[in-house]
Amino acid sequence: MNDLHLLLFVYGRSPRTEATIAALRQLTRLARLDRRELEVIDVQERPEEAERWGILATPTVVRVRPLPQRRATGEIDNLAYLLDVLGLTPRHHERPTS
Amino acid sequence: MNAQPPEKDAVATPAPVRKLPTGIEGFDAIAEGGLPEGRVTLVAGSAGSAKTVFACQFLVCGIRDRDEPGVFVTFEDPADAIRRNMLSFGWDIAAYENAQRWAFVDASPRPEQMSTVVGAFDLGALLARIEHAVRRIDARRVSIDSVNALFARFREHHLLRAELHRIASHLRSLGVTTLITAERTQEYGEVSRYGVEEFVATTL
Repeated sequence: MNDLHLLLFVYGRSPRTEATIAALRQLTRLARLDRRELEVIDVQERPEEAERWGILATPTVVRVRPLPQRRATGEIDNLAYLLDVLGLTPRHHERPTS
Repeated sequence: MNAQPPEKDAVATPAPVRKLPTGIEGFDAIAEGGLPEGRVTLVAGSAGSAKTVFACQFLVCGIRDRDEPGVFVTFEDPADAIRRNMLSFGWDIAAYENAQRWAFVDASPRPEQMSTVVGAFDLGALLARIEHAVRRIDARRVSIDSVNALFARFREHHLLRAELHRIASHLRSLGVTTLITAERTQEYGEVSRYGVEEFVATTL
């Protein structure tokens, strides 16, 4: 299935978290998938979601789909590295960039 | 004009720190009544010194003897294992949970939840989970077991220490009495394995 579902757990909203969100939106574009969804969860507002997903650290990105799940924690300085950690580089999807 | 010397009797005598019993007679005797109320205390013991049992007993004592609900934060044993293991002491934690007297924050490691660190992070999610649990059952006591298991999860120890400070000060502001367990490597050596985190706590 060529769809992508990411959860981003943040603690409050700040210029820093906005930058993280913007970077992830760019990332989902880079991933070249058909359906893309990024859900931002502020753990201060929804702590029960952090409990349910077993999140300790913020920010944390969870790749919910495609399976298997993958997780990355920390501020995003290097988008290419994050793509690799989340398994979203084209080679992981056998969808070569044209 | 001469500055007035400060009047000695203007300084208020601070109220003595009240102690909360842990339910372990020997410990409470040594610690002159128990843990300081409303503070965070780090208790270090060597491996196999029943730190988890101690952390549980602190909450059980609060629930049984003083009607004080408690939150158990576990970085090591899954909540299920703790429920099962503590039954042998006659502590039915599940029953306490159902009665809203006990809440787990289960931060035990699970393979499917492993995350790769790609940059600077904080423990905001952990803080939010603890605070949520404390508010949910109106907890008066918190046990955190153990700090070593948390440090084993991340390489960024300087960052963890700063975050533990933040969590400790948050817990103090909530007014709960907190016990943090730590393992020490030698019986009379450094207080705990990471050398610095004992400063997180206002001590015994």
